Amino acid sequence: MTDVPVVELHDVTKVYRMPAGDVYALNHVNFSVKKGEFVAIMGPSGSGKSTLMNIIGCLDVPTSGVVKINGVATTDMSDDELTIHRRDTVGFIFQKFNLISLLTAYENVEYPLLLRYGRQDHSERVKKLLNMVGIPEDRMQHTPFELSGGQQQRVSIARALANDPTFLLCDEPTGNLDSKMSLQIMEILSGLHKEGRTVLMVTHNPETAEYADRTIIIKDGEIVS
Amino acid sequence: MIGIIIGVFTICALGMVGAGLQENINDTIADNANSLMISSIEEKHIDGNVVRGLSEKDINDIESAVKSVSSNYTIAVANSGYKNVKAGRDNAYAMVLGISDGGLEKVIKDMLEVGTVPKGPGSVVILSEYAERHNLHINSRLSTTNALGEPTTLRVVGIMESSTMTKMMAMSQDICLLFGTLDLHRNLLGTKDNLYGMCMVIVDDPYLLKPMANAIERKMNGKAYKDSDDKVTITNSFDTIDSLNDVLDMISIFRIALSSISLIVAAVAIVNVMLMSVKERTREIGILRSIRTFKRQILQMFIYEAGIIGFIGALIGVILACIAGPIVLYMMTKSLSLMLAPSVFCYIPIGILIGVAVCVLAGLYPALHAANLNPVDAMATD
Ligand SMILES: Nc1ncnc2c1ncn2[C@@H]1O[C@H](COP(=O)(O)OP(=O)(O)OP(=O)(O)O)[C@@H](O)[C@H]1O
Ligand SMILES: [Mg+2]
Repeated sequence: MTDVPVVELHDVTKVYRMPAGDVYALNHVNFSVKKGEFVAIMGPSGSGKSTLMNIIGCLDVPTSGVVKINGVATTDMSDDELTIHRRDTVGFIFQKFNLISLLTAYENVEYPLLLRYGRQDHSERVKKLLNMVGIPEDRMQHTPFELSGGQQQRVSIARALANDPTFLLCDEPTGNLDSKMSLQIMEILSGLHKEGRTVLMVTHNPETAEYADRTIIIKDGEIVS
Repeated sequence: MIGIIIGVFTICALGMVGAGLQENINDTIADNANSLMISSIEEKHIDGNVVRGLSEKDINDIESAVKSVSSNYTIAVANSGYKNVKAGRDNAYAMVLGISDGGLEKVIKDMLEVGTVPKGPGSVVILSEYAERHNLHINSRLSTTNALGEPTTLRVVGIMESSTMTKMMAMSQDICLLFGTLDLHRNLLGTKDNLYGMCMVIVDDPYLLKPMANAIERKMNGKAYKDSDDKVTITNSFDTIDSLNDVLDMISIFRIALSSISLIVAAVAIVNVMLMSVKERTREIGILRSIRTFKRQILQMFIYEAGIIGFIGALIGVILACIAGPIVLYMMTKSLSLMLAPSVFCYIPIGILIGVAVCVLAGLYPALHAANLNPVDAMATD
């Protein structure tokens, strides 16, 4: 394990300028995650958790401050560089699953591989991933519409893992699931963590936060503990 | 989609019809626009009578003028006059056209549908339209009177299709044209003081006609007395066709304008459709961006989509045009062989290319819009 943190935020501020006044979604946030850590992020609604995740995942850029991923500042990257970076280091898991509804479960997982290698995957990697998250073979050709919420979230975890990312960003992964499903998803995430993956997870549920090594709490765009 | 279909349809159909007409006119030029007709408008006083016509000397002058331009020509003299003829029970007013030997062959041969070139004072070639109307065939007889007023019969030895020249001669559809030798004319209408009504210069290359006409003009009319009128008038069949070409040029400008308008309408429609499609898929675009899709890949996706819409639309447009174009062309020219002319045919790939190009260009803005969406905002929409 190297000493360089996987994620490093220095004085990051994100301001949404609205007609009704500026909204400080993030206010001078300093924060870092070491390799292999499982960090839970909690806080009230509207406190800036999703904004934080988007900025770490390079989907969004901060208004000021520096974001370093594996020691590299993302601030000066071009959009294409950010996309490559996103492709190689970040796996997103969303509350709303965000699967592509036109594609089957299998294709949804295959898609990042297609994007990366420009050809079909013959190494059975997609199947292995789907097996690992507990999607049975006969479900793989179903579209997200035909899958339960828990199954969709499993597919989206498999998709996030397809490119073997440096870290996983989970924005309320269990937010749309009942407690039994949540438990299963958390077992998967916890298992991934035990395999050595870095996981950042936003959650409202203190129970799910217990899986994490440490929990940070964010309020009004500031980290309070 | 409808927009692009109509746009491409307009381009192709109008293009085909235009090119077809052009081709038709070119054919006509090659077939018919190969002659000058010179007739005298000078009054000559012979034996105390005032007559009009070209004398031997005039013909010689014309020939020497023509020769100064090119030696590749046929010169012929012709006399014409009107006569009543009877085909079976039908009466018709006929224009009798007697042409000297070399010329007769030249004028008739290519246009002949059946039969032979007439020889002697009793045989004629008639136009196919007239033959059809009066149910005449080869060896049918026409009865009329000769120059002395005695009844005589004429034998149909050939039937020819009508051309620009024959149309110019006959002026009206009701007049039947009888082509024959000078002897025929003499037989039916009598001699006219050794003057000829008309001189024809026939060439293979229609572009020689203009300089020849100028040379004749200079030779015959340039020398005329100041206070007298011109000696001859020259009808250049190429001129008629030239002016037709001018009209065609105007039509083609109109045609371009019309297709451009429909293409602009099509482009606007495509922009609209594509923007809707981007809007519908905003969320998907956000997801794609979040899972490592490049901006330019999003761009490509939408441009492909526009291109495919364009291609399918253009294909349908072209197919429709391929149905409508020939029908219109057939109605205008009564010939389908024009469809196979390369200049007509080439509107098919041109139409498809333009259709796809317009769609891709029109799709560019929505595609850029899609590619530049903020992924976070895009995913937030439902
Ligand atoms: N696109 C945007 N435009 C304007 N303001 C925004 C935008 N996105 C977020 N905000 C504001 O930034 C603040 C933080 O939002 P964020 O989505 O990060 O909250 P959150 O902690 O994820 O909340 P929740 O728990 O409800 O998901 C909120 O006050 C929100 O109104
Ligand atoms: Mg949120």
